[in-house]
Amino acid sequence: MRVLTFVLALWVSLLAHADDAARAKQNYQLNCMGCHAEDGKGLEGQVPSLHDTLSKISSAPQGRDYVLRVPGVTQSLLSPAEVAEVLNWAILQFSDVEVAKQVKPFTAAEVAKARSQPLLEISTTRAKVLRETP
Amino acid sequence: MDRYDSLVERWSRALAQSSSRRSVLRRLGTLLVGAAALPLLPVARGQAVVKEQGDPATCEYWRYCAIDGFLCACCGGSVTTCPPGTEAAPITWVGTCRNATDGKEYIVSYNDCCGKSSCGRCLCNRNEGDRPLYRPQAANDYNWCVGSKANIPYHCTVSRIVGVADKKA
Repeated sequence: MRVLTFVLALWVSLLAHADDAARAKQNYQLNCMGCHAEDGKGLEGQVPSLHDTLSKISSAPQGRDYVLRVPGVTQSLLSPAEVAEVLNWAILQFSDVEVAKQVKPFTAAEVAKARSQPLLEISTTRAKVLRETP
Repeated sequence: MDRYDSLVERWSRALAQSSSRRSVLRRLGTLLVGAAALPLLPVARGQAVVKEQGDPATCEYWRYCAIDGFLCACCGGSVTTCPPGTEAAPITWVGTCRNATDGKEYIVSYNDCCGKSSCGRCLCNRNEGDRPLYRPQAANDYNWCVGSKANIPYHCTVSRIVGVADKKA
């Protein structure tokens, strides 16, 4: 009976995980890919690529604060929980798997707190964060 | 009699092997895990053919529900390809449209084709889901050619399906 319970729990967990990922992808497509592109590579010189830099920036406190205060997040129509889910999905999607696993997942509370203070100096802050993050 | 015993023994063993508790659990486990893992397989679902009806050269065509521009299908291109001499802007306006043929909501990327002056044919301005410019992420009144290598001249717009919007928020 315990084996059956375990298998059922695993099954439900796998299905829920797949559903969360599908919802995050859909929200990315509807709210982010217009600028960051379907493959997350953005547009050189105009829209930052999410590949590798998103996980790097999200691994340090000042970087997490930056990510959650850019226009795409502060002006998004998504809820804080949905923003957190999309960001966590994008980190896994557009980064090296081992690097992505080291990044602490974003939470709804973290998003709600930071996005209430929009960032004005986007490019200079981003350059500073990248320069100071190992 | 020996042959009969042997036959019954083989049949009994086969039955016991295929109907034990462990066997049932094993098969059930395989079925459940297999069913759960199926959606995770790397299948190119985005390439599936969409059953649809309508004329892409008319504004009533279902994919154009959120469009604001000239239809490339009337300008030497198609519903998904830019006319010769233009190229698609990578930055796009994204919306959802309902396909009446299969009843599904699809995510549609409206890519502007840039590099030549306005096509001027088949203007289509349906704007479902469009928001005012003070909601920049949800407004479709921008000239997305600003972001393309071909630069600002706008010619027409294509409508590319990128997914199915079947997940509720």
